[in-house]
Amino acid sequence: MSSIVTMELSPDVSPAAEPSSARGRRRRLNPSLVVGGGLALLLLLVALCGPLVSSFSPSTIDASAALHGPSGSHIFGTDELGRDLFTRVAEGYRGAFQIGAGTVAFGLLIGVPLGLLAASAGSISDNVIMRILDVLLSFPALILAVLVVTIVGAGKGALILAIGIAYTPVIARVMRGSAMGTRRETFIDAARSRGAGPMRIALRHTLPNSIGPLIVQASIFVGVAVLLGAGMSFVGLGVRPPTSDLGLMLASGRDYMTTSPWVVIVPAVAIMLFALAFTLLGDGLQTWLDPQSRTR
Amino acid sequence: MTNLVLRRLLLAVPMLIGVSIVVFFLLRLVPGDPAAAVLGVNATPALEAQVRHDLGLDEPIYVQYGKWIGDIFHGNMGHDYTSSQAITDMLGQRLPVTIELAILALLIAVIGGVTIGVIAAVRQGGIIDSFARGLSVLGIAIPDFAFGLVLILGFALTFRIFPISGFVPLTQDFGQNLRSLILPAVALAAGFGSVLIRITRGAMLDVLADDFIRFGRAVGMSEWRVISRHALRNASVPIVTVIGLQVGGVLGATVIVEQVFSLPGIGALAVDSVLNRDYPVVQATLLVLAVMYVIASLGADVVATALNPKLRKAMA
Repeated sequence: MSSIVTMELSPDVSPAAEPSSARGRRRRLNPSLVVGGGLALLLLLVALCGPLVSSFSPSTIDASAALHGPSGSHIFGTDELGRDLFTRVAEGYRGAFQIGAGTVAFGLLIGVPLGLLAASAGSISDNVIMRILDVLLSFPALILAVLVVTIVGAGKGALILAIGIAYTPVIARVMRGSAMGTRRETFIDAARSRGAGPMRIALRHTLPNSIGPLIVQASIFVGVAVLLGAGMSFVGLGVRPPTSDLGLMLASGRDYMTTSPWVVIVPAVAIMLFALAFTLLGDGLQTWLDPQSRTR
Repeated sequence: MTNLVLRRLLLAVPMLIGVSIVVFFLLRLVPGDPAAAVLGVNATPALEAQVRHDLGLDEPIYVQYGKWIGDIFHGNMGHDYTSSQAITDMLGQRLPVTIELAILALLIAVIGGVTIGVIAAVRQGGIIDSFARGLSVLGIAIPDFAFGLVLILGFALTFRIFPISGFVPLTQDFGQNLRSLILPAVALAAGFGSVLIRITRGAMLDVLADDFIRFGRAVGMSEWRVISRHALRNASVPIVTVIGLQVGGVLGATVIVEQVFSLPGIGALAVDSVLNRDYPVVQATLLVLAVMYVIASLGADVVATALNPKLRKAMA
């Protein structure tokens, strides 16, 4: 899975410390940002409104309509139990947004304070925090998530916790790297010389000026978390049936894919679009926040 | 150089100890009594106490950890709860599958990713470049297990070129072995290769803008020599570093991809043991996968340092 790397790329992104307009550069919308953001909004709309506008329920079983191909009434076709695939995809997107938002919120809540503390509170706490995080980082993210699921059991909440824990060390490291960069800026010296205490410097000056790379990271994470979550649900370590989940849809569809390929292709494309939206959004945000490091 | 390897090895030791501590202690957090799990319906308090004593569970936890580590160094990882098979035997059967799969996937990804990345950078703005950029975004977004299913649908069910699932050991038949691993390896390689396309392209563009490249061309060096001997060599450090980081992703993904193709590897064993609540096996498989990752990153680290003269001097 491409998961870990997309994120390992960002720690060396220079923080968007000063407003770029000050350097005479205008932030301009770029194609990645527009396409990624637009697609993400569209998927959010599907997740919110899809189940409402659909005339089917995601869980009602209708044996007479089993494995119908895409048609006027079922635009994406139906699955082996006759459930409407569009409605199930829309429900699945709801779950995907919950998992994406939940893991990122968890990762930020724990990772940002840890990273800020490591960057601000002297070398002893920096070393202690970073060595512990290094150990967690020496697990592949998916392995760490499997470990957590082993302890807390399967389910959507457990999945959010598991993926959140797996990615917290990465967020903490990005935060630390960015904050370290910001702390070398002159305005931090200026604040200190005006008598600002370490707490105030960390929270009022360092944090707001180091947040750029984290926004990029958070966006990429949403996509990665959903990919990882779908994979875990697929092998039975994530969301449990009968909840509509894109990974579960693939798992149950694989038995029917020879005769009814849409039961696999629809959820596969649905997951891909989700990950695509947030990967592009992350790329776009990075270019937008830091025009100097324009992706060539 | 020896010095460098030794130093990195020493740095890996606390990492490995940390990994073993996390695996050991976290799995002690699992609710429920292992003794009851071993006995199942036959459990009585007296029997449970007996089993707990036999398993060493009545000793202080740090003693248990010490024994666990000591046993591992003696090649004993305990027995599986359900079939009482020795875990080292199970790992011995399954590890080769996963290692072969991971190596094959890495080969496909590195050869494909670096080649496409180099061509894209050399022909920046051309058709191949646009194609490579599109491919790299799609490859990162498509989930490996879904891609695996699509591959099965296309190459095993529609065109019957490769088997749907299953595994033929290397010792039995090399050709069949390769055939049984190609589709899973391609599914694993897609995401990783896409990242490599991006990294290679970026690193090459940086290097190609340097003066020494222009100089090489100016003195009449062939384009092939400029790219292979000078540009790629200078771009190799970030590429190797990313390969090292990606090994973890590939190892993690084997957990899911082996399930898609019913490969009897260690990742599939990990999933089965979690579902069966077979904790000694969970412990062993997760430990082995994490240790493999630490060793692979160590290797990549050493190679990246060896490739970079500045770092090499700093370490010597």
